[in-house]
Amino acid sequence: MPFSNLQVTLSDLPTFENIEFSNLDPSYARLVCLVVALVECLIAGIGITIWWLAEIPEQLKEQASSIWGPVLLFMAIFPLYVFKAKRAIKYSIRDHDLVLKSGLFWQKEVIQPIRRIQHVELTRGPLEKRIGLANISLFSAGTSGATFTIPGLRLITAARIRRYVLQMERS
Amino acid sequence: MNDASINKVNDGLKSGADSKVSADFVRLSPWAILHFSAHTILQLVSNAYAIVPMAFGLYQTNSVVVAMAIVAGIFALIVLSAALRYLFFSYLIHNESVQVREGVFSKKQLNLPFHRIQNVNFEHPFYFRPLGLVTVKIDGAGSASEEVFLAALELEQGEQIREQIHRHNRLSKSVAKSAAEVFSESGLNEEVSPPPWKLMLTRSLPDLVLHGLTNNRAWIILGALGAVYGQAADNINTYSASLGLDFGGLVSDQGSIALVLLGFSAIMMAIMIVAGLSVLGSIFSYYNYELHTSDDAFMVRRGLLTHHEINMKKSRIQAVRVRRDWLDMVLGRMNVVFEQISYGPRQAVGMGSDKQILVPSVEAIHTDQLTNEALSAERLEALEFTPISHRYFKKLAAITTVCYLTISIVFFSILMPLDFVWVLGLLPILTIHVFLLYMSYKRWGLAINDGLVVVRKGVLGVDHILIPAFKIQEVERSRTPLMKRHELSSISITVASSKVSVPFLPDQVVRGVINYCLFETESTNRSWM
Repeated sequence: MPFSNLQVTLSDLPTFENIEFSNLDPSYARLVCLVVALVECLIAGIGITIWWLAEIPEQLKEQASSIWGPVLLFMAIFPLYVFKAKRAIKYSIRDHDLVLKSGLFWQKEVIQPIRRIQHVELTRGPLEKRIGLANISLFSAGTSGATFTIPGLRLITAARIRRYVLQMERS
Repeated sequence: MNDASINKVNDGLKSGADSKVSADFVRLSPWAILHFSAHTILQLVSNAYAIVPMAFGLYQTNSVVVAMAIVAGIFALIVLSAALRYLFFSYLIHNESVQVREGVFSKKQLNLPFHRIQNVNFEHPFYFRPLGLVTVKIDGAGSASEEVFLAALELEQGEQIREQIHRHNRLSKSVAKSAAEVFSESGLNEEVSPPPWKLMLTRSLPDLVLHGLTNNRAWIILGALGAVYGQAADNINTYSASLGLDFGGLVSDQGSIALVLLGFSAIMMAIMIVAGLSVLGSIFSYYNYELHTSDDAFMVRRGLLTHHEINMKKSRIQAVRVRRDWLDMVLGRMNVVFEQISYGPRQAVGMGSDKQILVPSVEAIHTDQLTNEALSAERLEALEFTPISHRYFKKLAAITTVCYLTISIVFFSILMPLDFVWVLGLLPILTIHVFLLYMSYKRWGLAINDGLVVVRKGVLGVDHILIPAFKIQEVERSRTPLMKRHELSSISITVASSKVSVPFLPDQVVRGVINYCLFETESTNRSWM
């Protein structure tokens, strides 16, 4: 085993993989799903308008109609996929770092040590504001503005996380 | 970041209320106009987009006089704008910070406290050398915009400024270290005296020529491929002729063979020109290369036309890259890069970059000395690397093969049946591709040694990336369900200079490395800067 040097200390180290995760606010996944569906409807609306108004040769129309099935299927599945993917995002806060888990197929766990955080940002879009959600972004000095963003938190939770991070950073 | 903006606000208030502070701002010497002009010209030259229409315009005018007038006009404009920039540029070194006011139309004021300064570097451009002047480049740790050029200073003045900044930073560091030591007079003197530089390494002209050649690997590889392809084509033709087939006749007539030959020689020419340019570039930027070291810093002197003097504190080094291309492997040389905090997209390694120190074409013994000096690392050869899973190679090979198959089927169905040779032609390319994938799979590896994470990667060459475990900014583990089933995962480690990923490692190892890095980062109070 070429890894012996580490194996000795490994058993004593705190581990990141067996920690408890918290879910995002359930309304976040619903919101994103809804927005995606609305955007799809918009695109579909534009497409249909063009279909009716523009002079499209009959032959092309016939060819295009053969891909309707897959397109409709994709349009039906995509919001569901987004919903599932957003539901899969989980986070956890430890004494010295924050862990963010995401991804349905490519599962990712990003760990951000609090000591390395340079500044904290709380952002809210107009829709998120309406249903009382907020995103918290943690910036470290990694390349190209490496950010660690936990989306879809209740405003109180986000503010609490921010306070905790700032507190831990100072101590 | 917040710190700077607050300072900026404070300063604005101060200068509004107290005119004495603003009176202390001084202009640079008028020679700085040269610096500003050179800067603008350099920007123009590096923006080919700006040059092309200008050159085209000049080409269109038939009269030489008009063309000359245009050139003179442009030149006059450049000098005029440089003069304006000079007039509106003033600086002040006061209160342990560097303050700069500049801008003709939109005013800009920058306040850079000493403790946020990352490097103080010297440039001796060729047009300042007869005058004995120097451009001091001060680099803030905040962002790319925190870069200050103080052009055309007397050398003494420049050195004074640098010493002032360095002394302050050394002093504050020693205060942090132990207050008692500083209060005792002797301790203070000891800490504050400038560090003795020790010459560590120089590079001779042949070294730089080697560096120029190996650094242009894309072109050299292309050239090698061209030669191989030419030979292979010859062989195939003779072989198939012996079988009674005439591919040459099938694919092309005499005319197109001549065309191919012409194209081939044109490519060879281009390669030679580019290789020559690359060697020249290497000599221009690394001529008289000297690497000095002290207890806590590196200093590099280099350059043919413009002398650079680059300082880098060892504590600022985020990662060390030891790069070897296949040509470097053949020649037994390595390029060592010390990486500092960088912002935005990673800068191209080499020419003129101040954010990192590149030591060109060093021998293996020196590499060990260098990595040891920078990160007190063990010899690279002595490390034992955990290899990645063979599934990585299998996955990529399968994907590649499917891609090639799809391409060849498409080709076959569209160009059928005359040019089915193309499909055959894909086979050797596929083989080479899969071979390269195999090589890259073999190169991947990760090792942990005494507080360092070392990543090995490459295809024909080998790169080693050494990262101090306590300097990580972020770590990441990722995997697909399929990888999960085989207990594999990929790891990404982000430091302030770059992000390094290794795919398809045993999950146990990835977990171990992540926990180890987090432990090193979070359990100590050591600064990553």
